[in-house]
Amino acid sequence: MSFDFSDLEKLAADISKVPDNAGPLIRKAVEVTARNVKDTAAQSVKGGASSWKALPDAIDYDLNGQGSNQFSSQLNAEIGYNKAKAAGKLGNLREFGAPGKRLVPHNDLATALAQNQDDFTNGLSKAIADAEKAAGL
Amino acid sequence: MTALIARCELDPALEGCTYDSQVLNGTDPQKYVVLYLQRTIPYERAGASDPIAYDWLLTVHSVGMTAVQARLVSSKVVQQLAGFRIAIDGWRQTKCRLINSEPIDFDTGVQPPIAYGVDQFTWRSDAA
Repeated sequence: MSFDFSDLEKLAADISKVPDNAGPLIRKAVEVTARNVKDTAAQSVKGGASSWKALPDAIDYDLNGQGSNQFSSQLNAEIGYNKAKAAGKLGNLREFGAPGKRLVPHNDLATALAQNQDDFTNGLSKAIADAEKAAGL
Repeated sequence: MTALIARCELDPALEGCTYDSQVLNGTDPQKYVVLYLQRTIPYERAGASDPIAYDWLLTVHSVGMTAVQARLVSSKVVQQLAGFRIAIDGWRQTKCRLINSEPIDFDTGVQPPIAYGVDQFTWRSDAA
């Protein structure tokens, strides 16, 4: 009995090309979602009481990683209140609340993340599909 | 909410804690837990009027007079709630999952300041 592994080898070889093409596309997908989460959360904070008026502008994101397997295959985006910005230090109170002041948690960031989850999954799928297409798969 | 509180109170260390209340100036709460429950996203099926699923976000303030006490309360809360499956009539729930733990912070809005930790849990309800 014999098996023909040629197709399998080709597939393995083709897939090995994908990371080179996929990195920048995945980075783009992560960055687009990070920006969307930031905008959604800022919009939610804006809709709150006027005492939070400086807070929406304190939300930003950091994108870490190159999206290139030559340097690092790890990519992550950190979205949240920038404590260096005006009112940024109050972000924790807005997001998580405080028991002494009966300040309820608003969870703007957590909700924004959940709202953009499907878009993120779709973006990643599209990035992989585009990379596979570029690799001739 | 009653089921979540009852679940917390299964731990002897959390028994007798105050739930969903405010620390007032001059009081000594020792330790207590505040639970906030938020229903986040309704999942809908095209053409159907009722949602088919919900995501829940539970935020818990674990309060103590010191950071050590708040940390103890927080660890007990996590032990009780992580992996707990709540029962809601007509809905099928996933297990309660810990998604975030914030470091102990101090609320100076009351005197003396109180220490509190924040833990967040999530689960999904699907229509049975």
